[in-house]
Amino acid sequence: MRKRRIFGSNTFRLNFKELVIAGVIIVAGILFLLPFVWGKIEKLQTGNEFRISYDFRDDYWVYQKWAENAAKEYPVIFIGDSVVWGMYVDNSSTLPAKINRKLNRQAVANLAVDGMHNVALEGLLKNYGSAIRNKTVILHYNPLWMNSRKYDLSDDEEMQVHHPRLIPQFSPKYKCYTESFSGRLNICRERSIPFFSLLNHIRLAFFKNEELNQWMIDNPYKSPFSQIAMTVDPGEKEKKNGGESWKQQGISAQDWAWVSLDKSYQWQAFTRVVKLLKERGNRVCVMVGPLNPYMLTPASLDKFRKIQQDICAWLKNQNIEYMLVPDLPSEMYADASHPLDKGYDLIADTLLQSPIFTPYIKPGAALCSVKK
Amino acid sequence: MLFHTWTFVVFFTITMAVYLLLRRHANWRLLWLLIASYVFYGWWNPLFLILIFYSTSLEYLAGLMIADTRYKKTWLAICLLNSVFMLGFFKYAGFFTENLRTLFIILHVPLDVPVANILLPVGISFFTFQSMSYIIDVYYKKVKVERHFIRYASFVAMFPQMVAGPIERGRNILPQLRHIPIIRKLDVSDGLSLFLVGLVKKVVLADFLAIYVDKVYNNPSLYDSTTLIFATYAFAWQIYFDFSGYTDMARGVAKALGIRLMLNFNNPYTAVDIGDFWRRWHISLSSWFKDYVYVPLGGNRGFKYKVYWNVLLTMVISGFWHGAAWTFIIWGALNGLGRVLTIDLEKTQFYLKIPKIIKQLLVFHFICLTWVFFRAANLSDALLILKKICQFTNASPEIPVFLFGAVGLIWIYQLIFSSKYKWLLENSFVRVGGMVTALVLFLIFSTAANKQFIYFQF
Repeated sequence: MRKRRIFGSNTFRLNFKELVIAGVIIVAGILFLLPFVWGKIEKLQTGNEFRISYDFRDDYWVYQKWAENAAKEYPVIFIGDSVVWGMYVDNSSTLPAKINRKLNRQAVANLAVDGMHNVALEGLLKNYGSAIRNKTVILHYNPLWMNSRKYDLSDDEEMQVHHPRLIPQFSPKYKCYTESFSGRLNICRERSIPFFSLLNHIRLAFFKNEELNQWMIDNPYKSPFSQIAMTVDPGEKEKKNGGESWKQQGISAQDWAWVSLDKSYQWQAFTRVVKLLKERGNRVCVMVGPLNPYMLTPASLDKFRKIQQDICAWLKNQNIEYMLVPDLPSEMYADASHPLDKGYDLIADTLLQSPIFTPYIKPGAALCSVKK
Repeated sequence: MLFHTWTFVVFFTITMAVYLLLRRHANWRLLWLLIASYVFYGWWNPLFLILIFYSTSLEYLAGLMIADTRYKKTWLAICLLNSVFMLGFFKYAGFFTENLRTLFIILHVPLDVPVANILLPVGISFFTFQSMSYIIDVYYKKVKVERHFIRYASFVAMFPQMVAGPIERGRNILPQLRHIPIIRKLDVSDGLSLFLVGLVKKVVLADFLAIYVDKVYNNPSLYDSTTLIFATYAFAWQIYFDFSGYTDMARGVAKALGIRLMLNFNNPYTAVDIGDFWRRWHISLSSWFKDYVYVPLGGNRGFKYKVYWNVLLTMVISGFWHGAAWTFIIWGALNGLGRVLTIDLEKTQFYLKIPKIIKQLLVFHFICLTWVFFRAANLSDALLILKKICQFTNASPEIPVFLFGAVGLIWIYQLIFSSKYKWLLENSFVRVGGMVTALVLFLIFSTAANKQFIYFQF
């Protein structure tokens, strides 16, 4: 038997059995049981016209909980990016909120998130959206993500990607995304072990998105425990005045090159999203657009129309119900894709005429796809 | 490649798997250890591999020449000069040229000396000292010459300890590499225990303390004496957790490979005198300086003042080893001076009667005083910090109470560990509970873990 003191300068020398016990406590108790119990106890304050606030857009724990609640309470789930989320409008003027008001009931849940491009959306639904099953899902497709190789993520040049923690870390590989190997593994760890998703949630919800040690440095005499509450209100609070149109803002016409469907990473991701949602038993309906045609140069607009046609052809070929958002009047666009309040009103009316809402408005009404 | 990254986890998993597969083939296993070590080192910069390969080849040859030819002294001199030159060129060229430039300006010499700006290879001080000890030991026949090149190269480059120690001796490692190490269950559990403790020390404690220390030490003029005192305490623990954490991880990794590395830290802040502190702090370096500098200078032999001189000189050189700056030299000199002034005092009845805890506190505070020079960005900052500390202005130090409490608890733990109440800590519930708590903290803090180790800069 070797002398104990040779080992080290402390007594944290655990034998194999003790290491196994410690390991079981950590893995079962901390990594999995704790997040499960936390999820059961923590109350998420949602309500009518709820949408995840801009500050919580990276809190996928909240998204998961909201998806679970929404799947129980709402017959229709609306998924998309900031267009559906409602970039320039109040909670009451988002597209889902307007539809609900027109239907006079809470039928549609706003599960859109700001900056949620299709590559990230695939990761979001795969890892945090499993509760969305056997529902009617309106999936928004924003062609704007294909306006250049940069936003399509097919460019080789390094860039800041929206929602990097949701995009595939190893395969398929996106050259513009240059996270370190350790960083990628950390992200995979967060997706697969609920404890790390919970940690991220706690940091965002209670510590102003600061690392705990930095927060304690900034608040030396406060207890971190006193910050944590079991009720979270992640809803958007900001009041927006409706915003100015793109022309009032002085935005000039753009000559975007566009990426064709067969080469687009965003489009490929979108097709996988559709497949995933269908595999989960959902009835998937796609809303294509809106996109501001007045902001494009004639050459760019031509290319865009071609892409629009290709998108519709694919959806038709796959027997997927879809609605192509008609061109709105120019003054109803805040920028390239976000409508203003009146624009949403118009889109809501158009959507309500689509077969998606038939079961909720006029049972037995004829099915028809609303197109431009 | 840092121990606390996923890159290392993947690297070690592959290394260990192949290492175990080659358990019946000693030479292949050794070659694999060498390849893994070179991959580990080359991860920082593949160009560093040229340097280490050159250095290893020369020392290997010198070892053979010292053992087999008449030109023992010549080869010893070649080898030592080569090591000194390598350190001088990569580590101290900037310091010397900068000081020469300043001196010329003061003396109005019309010569413009360009300041050398050379990339410092990671861990050069560590592997150079390790090689030097081998050559000197071969010369004095304290260690058998190594005739197997791969084995010698593996000893120099062994990845767990190559970049930040412990600075191993040939007589400890080479015999272990001559046999196929038997990896038992106990080695794996011990290795894992050590690694996890090191991980927590680094990620939870050292990196947390670093935020506070950096904030204060980067702008010392903004803070009052209380804050500067607390920041100095914090740095004392930061450097301990950082460096001993690395050593624990290194020893843990080596243990899993069936190789035993020496103990490098032994609760240094429980030391009762300055000599005791240096027997507990960076033991591999302290013993290196004792064996290869202090003893050749004369050691304890000779009259009193000669011994004092030997102590002082050894500590100054030790300070210079740490970094090419006047602050490190002063840090070494202060430690030497402290040791010299207390050698005789420690032997008096007066000192022996002082309660142990008081002695421990006194030593800790003296060491903290020297850390000011170690941590300060430059000499003027160090003097400013000491000046402000002496003004005794009292304001809130703004150190997180939880952090302060955690460090306090660890100190109490170490004091109990070195007392007759050690048995309290040896209870299985305490150990498992302590490990679980430490790991939970690690999991919480691991998301921000990406800081380098302090000693990599040396």
